[in-house]
Amino acid sequence: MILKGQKRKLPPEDAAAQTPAEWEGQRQLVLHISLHKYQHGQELAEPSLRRSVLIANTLRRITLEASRAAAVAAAAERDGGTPAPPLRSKENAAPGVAAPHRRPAVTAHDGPPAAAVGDASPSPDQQQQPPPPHHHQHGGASGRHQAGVGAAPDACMEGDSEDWESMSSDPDFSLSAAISSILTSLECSIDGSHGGVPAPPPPPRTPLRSLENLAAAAAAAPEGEGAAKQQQQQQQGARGSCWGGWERAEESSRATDGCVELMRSSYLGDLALDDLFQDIDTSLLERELGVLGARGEGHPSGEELLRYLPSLSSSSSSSSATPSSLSFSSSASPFLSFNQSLWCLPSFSSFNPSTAPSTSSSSSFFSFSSPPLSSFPGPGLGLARDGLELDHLTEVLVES
Amino acid sequence: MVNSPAIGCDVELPGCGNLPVVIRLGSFDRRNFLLPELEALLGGSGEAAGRGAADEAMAGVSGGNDFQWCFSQVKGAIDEDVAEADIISTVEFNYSGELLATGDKGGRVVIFQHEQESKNRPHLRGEYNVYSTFQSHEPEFDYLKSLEIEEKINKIRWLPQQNSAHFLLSTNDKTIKLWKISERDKRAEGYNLKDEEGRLRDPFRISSLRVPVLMPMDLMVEASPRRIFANAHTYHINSISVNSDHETYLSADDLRINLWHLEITDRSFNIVDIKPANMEELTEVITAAECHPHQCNVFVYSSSKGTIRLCDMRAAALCDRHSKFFEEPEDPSSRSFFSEIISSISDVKFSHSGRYMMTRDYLSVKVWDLNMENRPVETYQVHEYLRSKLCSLYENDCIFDKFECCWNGSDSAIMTGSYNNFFRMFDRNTRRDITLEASRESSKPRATLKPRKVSTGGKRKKDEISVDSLDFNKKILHTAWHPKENVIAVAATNNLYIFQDKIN
Repeated sequence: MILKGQKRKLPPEDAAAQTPAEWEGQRQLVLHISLHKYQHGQELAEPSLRRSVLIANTLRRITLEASRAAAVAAAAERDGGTPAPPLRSKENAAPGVAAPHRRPAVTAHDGPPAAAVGDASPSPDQQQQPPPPHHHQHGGASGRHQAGVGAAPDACMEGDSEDWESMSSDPDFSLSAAISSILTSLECSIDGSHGGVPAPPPPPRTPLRSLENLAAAAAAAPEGEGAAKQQQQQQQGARGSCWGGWERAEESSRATDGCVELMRSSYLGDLALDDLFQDIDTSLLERELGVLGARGEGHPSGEELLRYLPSLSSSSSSSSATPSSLSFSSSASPFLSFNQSLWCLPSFSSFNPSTAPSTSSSSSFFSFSSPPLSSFPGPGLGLARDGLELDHLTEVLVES
Repeated sequence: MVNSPAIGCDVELPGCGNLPVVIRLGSFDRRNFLLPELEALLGGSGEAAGRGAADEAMAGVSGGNDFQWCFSQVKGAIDEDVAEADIISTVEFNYSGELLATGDKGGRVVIFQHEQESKNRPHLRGEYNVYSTFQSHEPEFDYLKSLEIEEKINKIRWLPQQNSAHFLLSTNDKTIKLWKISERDKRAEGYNLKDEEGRLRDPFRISSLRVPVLMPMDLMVEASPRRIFANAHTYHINSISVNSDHETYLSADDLRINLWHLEITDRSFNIVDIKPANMEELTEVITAAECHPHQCNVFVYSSSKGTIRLCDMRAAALCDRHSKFFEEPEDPSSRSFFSEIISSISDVKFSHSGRYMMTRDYLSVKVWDLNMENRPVETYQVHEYLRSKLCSLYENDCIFDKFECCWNGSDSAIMTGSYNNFFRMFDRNTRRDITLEASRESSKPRATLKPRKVSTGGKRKKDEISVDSLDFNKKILHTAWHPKENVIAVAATNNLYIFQDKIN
């Protein structure tokens, strides 16, 4: 067979004949291959949406099966009282049932848990043992954050930057739309229904980049490491792009941490709003990117958001920056807080403000993929923060 | 059968389950409308009549008693270095089979015409020779989105011929064009105002008038774009299909299907939209779509999850809700990480009769009865030996290859491609199958093609090829079957092979 890559002994692919170890080995293999494909999907001559969707579904399936296996193993170990194997150390570190209230805490740090993935079964989440994973994942989140910040050649970060760069739009318009969207969504509960289907313009890509399908382009955005590096330097903090965002998140976490749980928890993206708000070139914001845009980005962990909020606030209030940057950072704040608040609301990801004529940029902020999460550190806490942020935002807006 | 139904009458047969089956016999050839099983019910007279009536033996594809496939022609360069632009991306016969169109990655369309059989050698079929070549699509750059738009021709579909000119639709990822291919073999001579070289004459010197005369000239085939249907697709167009009303056609991309009128280029109706509100939730894309060959209100589209939806345009303006949903339940014993990827349907084709449709997924071809949604009526394994290699094929991306499939004119056989330049044909009547290879080695004129076999077990017999020796870069994705005769066109990378049955 003509294979790319080194020779290795492949595990047998007959499911029935495989031992659990073999199955796990193959699962890991397929997982790494899938992530590799994400990272390099950009370099394809003909990137295709179908291919990206199939790879994404395969990854989802793998993580679900892994979590199920982990859940079974964890349950068995809990029952049996035996120490967990190293592979599952994270999830089995703390004996006892994973407290539901802790789970949100973990996910708050790490981003949406795998439950965010559409219809992921709740059982994997239940079984996810938070800590030391709590601490670890927090560290991991920080690590991811740091990886995302600046120069680390993280494919997903680069992909974000290049997508973000493409989101250039009228800042004022987007800002007002964003504000109205926040208020609208805060007032009425998100019920998963939204107004019209926004126009799905493809995320702009670097010029002369090979052809891509629109969503695939967005999805593949993070994946081009080589070209993406340049993009990152050129437009840092750029973010954009569509549904691929969660895939990116998934791969980034994979890249930085091989733990299944970690990956699952950041499945929908820890992508980072981190570098998003690090250096924002708002002149590149593109309104169009809108729904497809940041929607898929995944959302940052709570800690990271909080970390940035003060900096953003200060920068926005004191900056003499261009209106665009000001507006962007302003709108970023509400977005962040909004995002947090939306975590406790169902089907956030389907939110799409129908009132704003140009829903794109606003929705790009908001549809910044909070997957339909059910976990959240504490609605009260988040909303309180939101209120504060919103007030601050309103002030900033008034000033601007 | 004693009482053979007359052509054109409705026949009521004991149907499947509680549903009566009503067959309308074709007006021109019953064999196009009757399935083997149904023909058995009718006493098999249809099939026998069909066999006897036709000059060509339409039945049987295997190298058995009926006939054998032999090489006819090969088009394209021979050298090993294949230019990317020369890779053939679509092959399509027109309705009469006289013309054969190919599109390539360079945006060119090459049309071959079937030469008349020479009277001196009636036992030879005529050859296909180049009739017209034109550049259909050019590479474009979408400045707004900073995207390159490839010029690769994804599909060509002929329109039924209504006058001396031929019309075809060709599409790349974004734009569909209607091309008119017309012949010019006469020109007018004897103009009054121009002289023979075309220079204008001095009017004062004209002393007499004459009527221009049409003189024969060398045949010139002109291709001109008559319509350009652009800017209607956000995603990559994967299918176009001309409706049976000959006025409309549909175009499908990954998430949407649009309905066009052939005369109107600035508007199209969106009839299917599966784009989720949140692209994060996207898990399924449209992979192929086709209009029903007889019912202008019916079309089907297949998905990457292995499902086919049949929609009736009379039901609603937006056909998001299907009328029928075809899906085969997954076999739990063969579940793997790649179950979904290999179930993704790469092509869907209605039978000429309109009673059946065929779908091609990665490892098999399935024939569906439009009246039965829960499972296909026939399943043919194309290259089951690849099932144990799925991980490797996933790694080298071969698992995403989109193979096409096609029916023969009588719907008694189906054909699809595989790797190593192999292609497979299945006879639905005899359930026999054959594997043939499109290679230069077997390219001697009228050389009979030798059946090939892939060895799956440990012991490899002579003349068999082992799975590990297959060349996965040589894939046959595009094949076409002549609508009336046993002539097939097989695209192998940059070469077009034409095979025909051996007339004894």
